[in-house]
Amino acid sequence: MLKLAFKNLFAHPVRTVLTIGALAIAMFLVCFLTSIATALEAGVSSNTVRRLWTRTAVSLFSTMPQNYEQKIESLPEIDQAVKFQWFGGYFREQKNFFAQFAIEPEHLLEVYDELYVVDGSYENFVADRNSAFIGKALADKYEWKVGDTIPLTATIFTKPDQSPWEFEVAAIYEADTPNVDRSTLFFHWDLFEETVKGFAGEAPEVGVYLFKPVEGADLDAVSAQVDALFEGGPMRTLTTTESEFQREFIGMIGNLPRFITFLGTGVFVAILLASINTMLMAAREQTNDVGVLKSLGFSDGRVFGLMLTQGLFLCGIGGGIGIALAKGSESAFRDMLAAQFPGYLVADATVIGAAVLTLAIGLVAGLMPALHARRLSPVAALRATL
Amino acid sequence: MSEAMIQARGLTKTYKRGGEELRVLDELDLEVEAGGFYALMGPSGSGKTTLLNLIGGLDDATSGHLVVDGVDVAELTGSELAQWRSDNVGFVFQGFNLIPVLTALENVMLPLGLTPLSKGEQRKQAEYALELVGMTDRMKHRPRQLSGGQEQRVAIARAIATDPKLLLADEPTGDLDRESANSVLELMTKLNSELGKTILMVTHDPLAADYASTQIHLDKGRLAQVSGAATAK
Repeated sequence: MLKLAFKNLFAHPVRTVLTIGALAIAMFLVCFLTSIATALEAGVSSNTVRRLWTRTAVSLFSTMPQNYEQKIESLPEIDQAVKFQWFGGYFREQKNFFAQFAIEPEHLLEVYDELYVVDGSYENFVADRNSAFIGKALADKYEWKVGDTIPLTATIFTKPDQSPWEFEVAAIYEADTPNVDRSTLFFHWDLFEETVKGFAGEAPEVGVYLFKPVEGADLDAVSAQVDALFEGGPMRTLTTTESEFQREFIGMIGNLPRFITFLGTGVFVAILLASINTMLMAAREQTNDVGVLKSLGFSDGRVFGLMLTQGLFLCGIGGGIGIALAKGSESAFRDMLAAQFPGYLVADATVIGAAVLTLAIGLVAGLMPALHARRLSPVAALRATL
Repeated sequence: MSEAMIQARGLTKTYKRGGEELRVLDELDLEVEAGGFYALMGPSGSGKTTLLNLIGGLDDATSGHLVVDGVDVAELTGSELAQWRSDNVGFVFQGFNLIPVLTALENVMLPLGLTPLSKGEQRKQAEYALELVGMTDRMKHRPRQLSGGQEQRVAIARAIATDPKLLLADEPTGDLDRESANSVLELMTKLNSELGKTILMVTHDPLAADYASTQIHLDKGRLAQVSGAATAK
């Protein structure tokens, strides 16, 4: 029976191979999109770091005065706040875009204690104001190593002569937690401020203040205290946990997880219809065979099982290839998408979910022709002409 | 006197077509002896194939009684009927009806898959059936690689693979040239005389009917005439 089901499936090899190919691509996409959504969610929900972010209450694009830092640090629950300013440059071409921040190197690791150096020396980064501290994924992508100079073309803080900003790689970092972007370049606030002041005439403001309240402090209470400090301006603030900040950041580009789920559902429905169509065509061609099998003594149940098995074979092969592709390409995509979706991972739950989905498609695709074959009288089946 | 393989009493089959009742078999009485070779003849629409389908348990009679080898087929449930067909009846069709994706050997092994035989025993039995029909050298060929006569030989091997007592053949030589037809008919005669198979063969061809020991003529769903040596009534 299994042999017959398998051979029937490949009676029209081109059609079957095309359907299997479509199934493989669809199931790969389902796994890929689910993994993207999972990566987004993991970055947010698994982030249990007790780090608070203070930004303006207006938007992420507005900035705050530098003297907010001292005021924030004046609260007893906060030892050290760190200035962050989005730089927004690119390397050689606009497509080579990644996150760059001007920060205070002396205190970065106090708020980002999950970072660790894998190459170079953090002390050298702190000591050299022209240096940069870059993520491992970024270093791997552009094959940068310690000592290399990275020219960045500014899009916001453009020098009057249009020359690029240049940073020498002092150290490369890695992190064990999925919420940390391994594709960021950090550089000295002092250099940033001095250069901007040089051509703009005034010191730059701050995009975000990051800090870790002391152990045991109530994060909500601290957030409220910080925001209360600036209630009267000049710029009101909004202080949130890091996970909440990330959630808002993702929200800026729309409800991405829902959009991805929508796309995945669309792919699923399309491939379900394609599989049903293939199975119905195959079943129609096998009508006469069904009559022969019944005349040989095959029961309605056996014929039902044969048709259902064909649907399961078809979807199992296609879906299996798709899932294997998704799993096999996991590390390649993790590197490729490190900047946008750090922590990309085809989780076991995703693989199991895709396998269940494959099984469901196979059952549904095989069920209609199987029920038809089961009900078909042998005489009607034998009379059938195609 | 041989015992009856088939006993039909008042066998009637009607179909509804366009709101009109079509009586294909009309109170047919028939008795076929075990071990006989019968040709079932008659004009188109006389009920030959319908009778064959009823005897083979492929269709239900509207009324009447039909006992095949001591079994009232109307009493069997769907799965019992399937099992009974597997054990007792072999079908040979005009269009051969081999499964195109399977080799000759696999086609013959198909009904053996319903038996308790092991895979090895099934293969051995299928090879024996193919040997009986002279197709050993073509057992690995697919149907499309065989001539019509060869396909029908494989189909006969499939029909006898489970060693059924009854062979039902519906125009088995209808799609064959004369030479191939004669060869198939000689094979069927051999199965009847040497293996004792009861054969009921629907045919329009008088030359084919001559191979049978008894000719049964149907007309408008009734028994019109019985000729030949045996005692169909």
